[in-house]
Amino acid sequence: MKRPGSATFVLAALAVIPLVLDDYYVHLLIMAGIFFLPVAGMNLLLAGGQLTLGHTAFFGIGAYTSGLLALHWGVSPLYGMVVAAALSALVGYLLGKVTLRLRGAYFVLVTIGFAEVIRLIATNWIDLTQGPLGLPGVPPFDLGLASFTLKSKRQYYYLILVLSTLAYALCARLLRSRFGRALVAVRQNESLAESVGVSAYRVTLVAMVVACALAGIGGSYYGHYTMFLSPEVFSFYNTVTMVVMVVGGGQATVAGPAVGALVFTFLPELLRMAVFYRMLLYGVILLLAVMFMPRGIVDALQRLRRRPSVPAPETTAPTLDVLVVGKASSVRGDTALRVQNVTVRFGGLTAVDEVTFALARSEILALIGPNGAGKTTVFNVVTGFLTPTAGRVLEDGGVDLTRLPPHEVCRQGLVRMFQKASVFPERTAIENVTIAGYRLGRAGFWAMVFDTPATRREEAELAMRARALLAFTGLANRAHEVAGNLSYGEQRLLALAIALAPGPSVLLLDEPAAGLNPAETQRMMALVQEIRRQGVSVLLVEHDMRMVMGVSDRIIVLNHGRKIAEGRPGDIQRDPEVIRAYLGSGETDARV
Amino acid sequence: MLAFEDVRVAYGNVEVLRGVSLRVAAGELVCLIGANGAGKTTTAKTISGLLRPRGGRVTFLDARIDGRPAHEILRAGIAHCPEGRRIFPDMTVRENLEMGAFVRGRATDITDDLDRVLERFPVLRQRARQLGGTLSGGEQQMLAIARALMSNPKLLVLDEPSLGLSPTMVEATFQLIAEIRGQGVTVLMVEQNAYLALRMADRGYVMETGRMVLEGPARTLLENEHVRRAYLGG
Repeated sequence: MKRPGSATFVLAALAVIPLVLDDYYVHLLIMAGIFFLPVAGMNLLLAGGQLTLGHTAFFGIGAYTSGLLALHWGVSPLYGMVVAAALSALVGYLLGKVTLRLRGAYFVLVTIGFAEVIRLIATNWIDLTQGPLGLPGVPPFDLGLASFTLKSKRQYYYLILVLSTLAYALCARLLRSRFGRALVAVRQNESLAESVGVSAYRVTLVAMVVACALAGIGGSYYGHYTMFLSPEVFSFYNTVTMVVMVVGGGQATVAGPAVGALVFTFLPELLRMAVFYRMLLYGVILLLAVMFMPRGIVDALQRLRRRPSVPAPETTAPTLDVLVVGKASSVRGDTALRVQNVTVRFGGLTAVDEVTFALARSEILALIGPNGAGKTTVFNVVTGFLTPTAGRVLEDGGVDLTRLPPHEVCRQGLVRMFQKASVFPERTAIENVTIAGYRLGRAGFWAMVFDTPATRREEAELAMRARALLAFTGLANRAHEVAGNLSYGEQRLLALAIALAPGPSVLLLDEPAAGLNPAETQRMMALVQEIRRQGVSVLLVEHDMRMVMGVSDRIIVLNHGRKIAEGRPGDIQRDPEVIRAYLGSGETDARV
Repeated sequence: MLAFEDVRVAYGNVEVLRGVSLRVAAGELVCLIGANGAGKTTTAKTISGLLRPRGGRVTFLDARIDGRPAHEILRAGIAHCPEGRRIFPDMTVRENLEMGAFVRGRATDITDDLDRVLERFPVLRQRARQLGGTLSGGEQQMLAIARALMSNPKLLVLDEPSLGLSPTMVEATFQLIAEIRGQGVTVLMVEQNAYLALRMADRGYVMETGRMVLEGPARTLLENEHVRRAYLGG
């Protein structure tokens, strides 16, 4: 996808254009550049699935901060801009810290409310802001010294071009890095993201801080460019403009915000010829755009370009030499996991009742029982998706997992595969597994921004591991297929590859054979045995008795949340209580 | 009753059904088996109108139905029970069943049918006021089938009815399917549990990479060497 050629071309064009345009169009380009900054930030948050409708608040905080610093204390706008970015980022951090646990419409509402509060403060703190009258006479931008004050529109244009290009590069790096993949993961399937070690809260908080800093910079520049500050900057019209830019341009794409900022700055202006019908026409164009390009201009263009060429399937897939990675691979005691007296009550219903068991290292332990017996609830407790009413879950080293969130549980080496086909549906198979390798990455925020050699090496390793895992699960020839288009059984195999990506020491499989035919089930059994051979302990929930009896070392039977039997497969098959509660007459398994 | 003639279906540029032909006669129980990704679910979705073929004909009771929207096909008498127990989790069991009769007009008929269906599913009667999402997996599958029956279909298309069910529930579900068929509903069933499906069906089709490769009486398929090796794990 990288086309440095076209990027250079676009930059060159943007550098030359103002020389041939009159001031009015240069002004529009400057406004597009200024709006690009907050819009690029909104886009980062949207990549993580969070829509903010309060970004004008941070734009305004930026504008007032450096404007007031320059006006009252004579601080150079250059330094004022730095302070503005820092203050916006800080406020964004604080707001994000308390609100990013909210999702969807709730987060949207909070951001709208926050912007309104900030607007009211700016309107009513008259001593500082002169309220609705506004503050005229904000000094023009300079580069730290009065002699470097920007004078012409062209000078303003070139500086915003530099700032926007830097912001574009920053966002592009972030979106294409491990961090960007984590954002996509959170947007597409939050539980799965958590289970492979991504803290949804933390990655969206980082996105929020970056987004607010960018908005602060944009606002600061806006103030010094227009040389006037008023609570108008907080107007909802600006919010709508920003949303139109990011959604119309192409949300969660790298180029979307830039395209959106340009198109939707110029479009309303070009429509001025229509005089009376201008806004009506603008509305109709927006409507049509959303109807025919629901994912924005960039996405629509990519669709046009995309050739129906399918990448050739790999002939020599790399082999997988390390399944278990990191801390998890160090040899320790012979018990991998202990579940002690775990009880879960939902209201009056006891879903799991005093369940105790231990999973030995390199053991395959099956958990069986009728639908609704509490098997998945046990999984949810072990992997941190549920906190038990009573009881404890201990990892081998004695680490208490009981109250850890899912991504922390993953860091301890426990990864689950979900019951329903759980993948990142809009990404290709190979991207799915790469996303899931998140935990293995070490590159920090700045390493990703500067794309250091170490980061590149790490990226190459993660990509290699992802390919190896696809080959391992037999999906190598489907690597470039979008996960949502894979069949149910293939999605199960992909889910297994995803669960293996973080290099777990304990793997929890929730019905891996569901949706597989007997021949495919046998392949799945072979995979599970190979996984165990490499030192991974496996906790298995499964209804396919051929698989359960075929691979398990031990079996635990749950019924109505209680453990009713535990033992070797042969003993379990003969246990009368198990036959009554679960196995039935044996008709369905006549061939076991 | 239902006929596929050289049907082609594609997702984007990838052709998933590459000329599929299939027939289901009135009163039959036909099963469709095959590996994952062979196109079984796609076939089911094409019958019920969730997917549009790019070539070929689909006829039902001598009328062409390909390209017609799903709700019209349902009204024509084909009910589709999708894989993975798709129910409305935030509606009560009763509301779920009423949704199944959404295409039908008269309220009195619906009440009668509701009684009839609840008669057949005593578990659901007990839980009529409970939210669908709180049912166990097996009960959800029952509910999905019951809901499909509420449209009073002539043809019931079942996609993986045994998916994720415990052995006893699998038995109960298959027994139920046999009963439904015994009451004159034609059934087309997609199933991974090839052994059970073939034992119960009249005829079977075997699908591989978007094509039908084998068809015949279910008994014959059970003994077919290729079927045994590829799908029965034997």
